[in-house]
Amino acid sequence: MRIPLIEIAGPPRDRGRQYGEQAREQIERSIAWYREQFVATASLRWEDVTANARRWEPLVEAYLPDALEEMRGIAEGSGASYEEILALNGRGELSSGNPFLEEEECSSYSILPEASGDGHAYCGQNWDWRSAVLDTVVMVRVEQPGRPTIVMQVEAGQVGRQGANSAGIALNANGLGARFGNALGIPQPYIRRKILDAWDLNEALEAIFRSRQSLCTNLLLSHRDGFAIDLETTPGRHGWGYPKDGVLVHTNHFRYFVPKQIEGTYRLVSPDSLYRADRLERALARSRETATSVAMRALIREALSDHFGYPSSVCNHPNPSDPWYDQNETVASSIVDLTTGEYWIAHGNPCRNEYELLPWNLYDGAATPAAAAA
Amino acid sequence: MLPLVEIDAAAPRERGRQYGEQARAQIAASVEFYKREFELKSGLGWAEVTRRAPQWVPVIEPFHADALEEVRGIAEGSGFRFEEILALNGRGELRAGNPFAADGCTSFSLTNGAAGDGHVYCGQTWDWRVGTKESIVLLRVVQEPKPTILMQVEAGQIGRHGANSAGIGLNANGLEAQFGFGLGVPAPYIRRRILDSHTMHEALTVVMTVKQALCSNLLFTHRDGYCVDLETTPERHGVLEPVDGMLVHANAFLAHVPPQIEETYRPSSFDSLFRAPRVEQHLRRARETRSTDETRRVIAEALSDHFAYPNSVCTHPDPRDGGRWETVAAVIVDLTAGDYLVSPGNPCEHGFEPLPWNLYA
Repeated sequence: MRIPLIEIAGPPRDRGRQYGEQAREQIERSIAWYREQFVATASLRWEDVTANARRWEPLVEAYLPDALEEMRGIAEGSGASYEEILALNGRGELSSGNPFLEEEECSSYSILPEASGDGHAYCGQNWDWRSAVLDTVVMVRVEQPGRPTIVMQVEAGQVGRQGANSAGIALNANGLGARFGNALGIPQPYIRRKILDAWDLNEALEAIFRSRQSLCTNLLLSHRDGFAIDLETTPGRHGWGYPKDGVLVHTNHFRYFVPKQIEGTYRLVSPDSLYRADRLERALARSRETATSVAMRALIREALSDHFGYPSSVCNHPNPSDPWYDQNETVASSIVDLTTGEYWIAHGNPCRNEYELLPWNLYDGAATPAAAAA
Repeated sequence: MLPLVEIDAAAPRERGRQYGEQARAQIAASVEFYKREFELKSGLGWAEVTRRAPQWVPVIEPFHADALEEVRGIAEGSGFRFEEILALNGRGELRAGNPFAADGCTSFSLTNGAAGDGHVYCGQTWDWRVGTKESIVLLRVVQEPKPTILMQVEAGQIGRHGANSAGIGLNANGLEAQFGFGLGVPAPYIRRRILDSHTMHEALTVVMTVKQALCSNLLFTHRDGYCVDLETTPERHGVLEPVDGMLVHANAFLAHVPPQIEETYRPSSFDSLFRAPRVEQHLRRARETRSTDETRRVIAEALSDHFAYPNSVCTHPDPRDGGRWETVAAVIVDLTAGDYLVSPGNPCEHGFEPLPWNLYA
């Protein structure tokens, strides 16, 4: 497997150290990349970023204190500074707002058992981000006392992004371009980690509804029991929607509502978002016709490898006309079988990279708080 | 089974006395509960609450004078003060403003073939504070020439959710948002006037003309196969119609988000976001049922759903937030047959039993 696999366990500081040690190289690369990227995209010097990074601390302390400990551990284990790890976990908040840039673009999906030919619950996404991130993306398995075990895909050093947990909850995420309000909010990795720390959908929604965020982002929650909900989250109101005929797809534009704050002027930063959603939806609607899990994964792979509108397609390829810091492509593509607990990942574009089965089954971890305590 | 209270005197005052006498113990339990609750939730002592309660009288008087007479009678019959019974009928309005005070409930309506036995159904779980279960009664009001009503209430209240002999079912769910100012007609009087209606026109007119202080979701079902859901607010009301004969509503705005709160609206009972669709998932199976027993079994399963337990459709106390909420009652009303089925607490434990009263008898 080409994608680095990081396995960590224990109390927050310890598992952070393990993370830092195992992902040292990728963390160094990520810092080097964002150091240049922030200057180019947001006119932010790395020294200024790290000098300000601690302003997030009180917010995170109140929301997810263990994450701070984990990051102190990551810093110790990797040799980076704590402020640098804070910055890696605030990269979305730091780099958004530049009108000339493409946002993080992703195509996410959830397929309920009633819609899949093999009766399994599936979810996953194409994660489209800077080409350079291909070399910094890692898979992390987090075994943590009193909380579900998490398997997630992140940029090295981040404490949360997209993934699934041993309680049968999966999270996929997509940028939503828009920005309003200028208050300091809780950066996305912490919100997403708190969702993946949840034992049930109520806890997951609590993480989303009782947070103060500064970005707009789409969060797709899927549950092994055949439930999915998609939330278009903003610093103010959140919109939400459900699968139609057992399939839910979301890309990078508001589909359930347009926030009042931007209602007068809202236009898509990523117009390809419109056809990516349609292409993926139509391809996945055929899930019912498959008979086996092998056929289901083949169908999902085909859907995620779609090249309509190439290179700005579902399977996203770099556009040579974009500047160096804005070269995007699908850096990872996932298929999570929430019924069996299998997590399949393609490192890079799914059109030319096989999905490989992670050596970790989701359900090797505890499913309930009682099981975790035992 | 929950305590059954039957009142049938011709004069409202006398009906109230009958109510007060029969439900004295439950009213006492309710007064005890809300004394503590108001103090805790809004810092209002009982003396202060009862001192202010008469301010509602001129608001209620022109809206529902008979109900006010009933309230006076309840006080006389139970030995509590008029002001105390007024407070019990304003408990939503008195607690409001607390952002964590939302009434949980999941309501449903099945019309036009959505139930396989061809009947029209409505009902709900009623999720409320642990400690209120001891005060819940089932009330039958015979009040010629107005329709006869069956409803579940906290003892001392003159309206909440139920159905009447004109074939109208009313289910209700809290919508915790608050905006607008001034004293409005408290929810029990509005709901009672809806249940006093002979026709859907009368019932809907009540909602469209009343001046209310709270947001509240009201689901109307008629035995003739009509259903509409109104997300009512002190100003605009949102309208939601059934899809394929089915409508489910919990505690979040779905039809609209009022402009007054549009920028920042986030439902505080976010468990609504899975409670409603979970009930829908179950109830979709009702279409395939072939007998009334089977249909009711599917509905009972829907209302007993434990997804995301304990904050599930069938709500149990959650030790993580102090164990304050539970399903205190659940109801299935067969508006076609006139059967009124009740679960005295969590449906997963109790199941549903029919009341000895038929709606149309």
